[in-house]
Amino acid sequence: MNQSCMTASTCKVDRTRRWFLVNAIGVPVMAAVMEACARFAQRPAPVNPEPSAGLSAEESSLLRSVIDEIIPAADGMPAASEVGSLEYLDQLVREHSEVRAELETGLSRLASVSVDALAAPFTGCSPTQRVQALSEMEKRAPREFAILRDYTYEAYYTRPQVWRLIGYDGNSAKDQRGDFDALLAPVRAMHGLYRRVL
Amino acid sequence: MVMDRADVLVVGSGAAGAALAKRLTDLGAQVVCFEQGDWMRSGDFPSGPDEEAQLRRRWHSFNPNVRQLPQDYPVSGTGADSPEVEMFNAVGGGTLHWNCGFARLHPSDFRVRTLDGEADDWPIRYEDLAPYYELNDREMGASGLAGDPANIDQKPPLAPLPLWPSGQTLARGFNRLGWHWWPSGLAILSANYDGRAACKLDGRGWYGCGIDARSSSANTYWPKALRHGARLLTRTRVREITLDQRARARGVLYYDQDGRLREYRGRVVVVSANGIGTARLLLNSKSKHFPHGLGNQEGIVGAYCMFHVWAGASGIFAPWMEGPRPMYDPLFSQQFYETDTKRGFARGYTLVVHGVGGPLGRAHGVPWGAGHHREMRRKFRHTITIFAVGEDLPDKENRVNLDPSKPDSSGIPGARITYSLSENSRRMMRHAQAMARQVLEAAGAIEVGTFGPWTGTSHFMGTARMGHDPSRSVVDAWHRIHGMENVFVVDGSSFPTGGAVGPTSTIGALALRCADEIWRRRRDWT
Repeated sequence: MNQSCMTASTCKVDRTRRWFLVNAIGVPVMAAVMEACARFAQRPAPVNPEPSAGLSAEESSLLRSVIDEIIPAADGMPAASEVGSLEYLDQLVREHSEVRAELETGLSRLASVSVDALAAPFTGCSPTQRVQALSEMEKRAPREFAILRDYTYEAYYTRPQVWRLIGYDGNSAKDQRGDFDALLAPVRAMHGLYRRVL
Repeated sequence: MVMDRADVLVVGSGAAGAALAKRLTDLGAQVVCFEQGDWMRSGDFPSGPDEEAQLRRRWHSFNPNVRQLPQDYPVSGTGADSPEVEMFNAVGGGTLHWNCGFARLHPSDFRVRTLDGEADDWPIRYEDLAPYYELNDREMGASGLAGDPANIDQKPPLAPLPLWPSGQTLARGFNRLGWHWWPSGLAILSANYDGRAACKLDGRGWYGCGIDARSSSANTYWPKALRHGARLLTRTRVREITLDQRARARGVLYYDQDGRLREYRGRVVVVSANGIGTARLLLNSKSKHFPHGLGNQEGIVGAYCMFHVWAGASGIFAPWMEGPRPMYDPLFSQQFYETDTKRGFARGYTLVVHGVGGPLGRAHGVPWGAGHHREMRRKFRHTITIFAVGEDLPDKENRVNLDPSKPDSSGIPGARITYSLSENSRRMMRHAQAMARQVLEAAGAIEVGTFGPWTGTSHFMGTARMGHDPSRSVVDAWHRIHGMENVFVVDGSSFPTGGAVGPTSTIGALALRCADEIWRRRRDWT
């Protein structure tokens, strides 16, 4: 939903200024949640709502082929599956049943788009065809495509190995305090920047 | 022993409710506050290395329609520009997920009708609020720099937070154009203060904070208010304000922690449930005396709803740009804050230079596939974004209504927002985009793209506006509902106009002033 705005050509309407801080995803309304809300009995935020099984071998294989097209090995950077992204997603699915539900929605839509557009299941496609299938899905089912893309990005850009490669030092503290005075000197000389009211 | 009676009942524990409860408790009143959410402790916030990923989980969402916890209520939207709102139902309310901007309104913001012929004047002046702004700065622990020529002199108790290389780069751009800029005033501790530790500048704390360096109502006003005797009833949801036979407020009808409907009686009722929740509660408080909702004889409750209008520009720079990773904006410009009719629009905006995000946030919007890494390398830590926050003038047709088709978990109707941005705001934001582009280019950007305008997702204002005229306002200059002796409304809903800065500092100041007035009238309570 929220798109970052870097250049005029890629710019779409943003709904929140937190778009590069928080990639808030649109989660489908879940009947179960609403039912649970029927009575006003509250609990702390569910940190681990419902542990479930991890990805099956079939799901893993399909997901691997998806994430490695979304973030392939190129320009000196590894593909998603090479940095543990699949294992990350497997753990996420074990911890959060709603993540599983979302990924299933995305993969199931990809399967139908792939068969429809290329007359072949995604895993049986060549890399070029896989890119075609994903591009087709991005056009036909942008919401479901965003699920796959955003979880891939999450599973990639939370890996310390990737941080090292892109030069991100995580949360290291640096002394960035400096002297404002030289920079502010011309501003301090300004006058009449607010209207005085009697 | 469970009390069922107090001097002052406060609905909502955010920026207004907390300040008011603490002030009145200090003065000697017996205060009980109702909060439908729970406590969020500093450890509840995702402030570890995986915080960007954690914030993608539904239960950390600031959008109640996504979060959908029992304490949230649905907020639907209609109209051309209705936003997906961000709010947080927990102790501290909106101060749990804010960028801690602590700017004040300008004196001219209180005289929009007189100076610009638009909207309405406030029934109070900047000078009426000035001492309360100062008090609020001290209570919340504001950081900033005195001497800003665009504002009446302010003296925050703490020094400003650093600009970082990204902020310094933009500061030079502003200087090249001869435009105003100034280090941001922030409710983030730049030094140890009042028992809390200074910000470590370590990038943690998109919302909340692992060490409570980011100020909220929950880590400033509430601990003191509770120590001094205030009561805070969490996980209690107020359904309506009840009346006695003289049509004075008798108390509130609320759902307790076990979901039972009960009444709590009070001599004074204060509604501080934010610009959406306050209107919702008043509209839901229907009675034979007020068949359309409390204070709504003229149909003004919920009307004149305001959000700020946003737009801006992002620039890509050749050098690696370190910036503040905690969610704060290092500097702002009010070069275009005051009305200048030559620009083709009334009122104005603040340009805010944004902090930089982590890799996951930056990746969002970068194309997938073969070119992904190239584009990410070009943008990550090479981008600076400027947001313009502008004043969208009040329009009676922009409003908050009840939405019975989407009730909350207690069966209370949700809120529905109807909103369209004005043509004046669109002109203003076109100007803002052009100016943001200009300063990014002056600072050395090699590529600039603009975005917006869109309706802000927070800063809910105007839905129970202050004023002298009961036909155009809901509360008087002291926040008392017109014609009601003992019901006060104070929060963002009190704003007759919105200015062009975040409202939180002003909300706190209004609440402190309102508290003093309630105390001054204590002989009238019975």
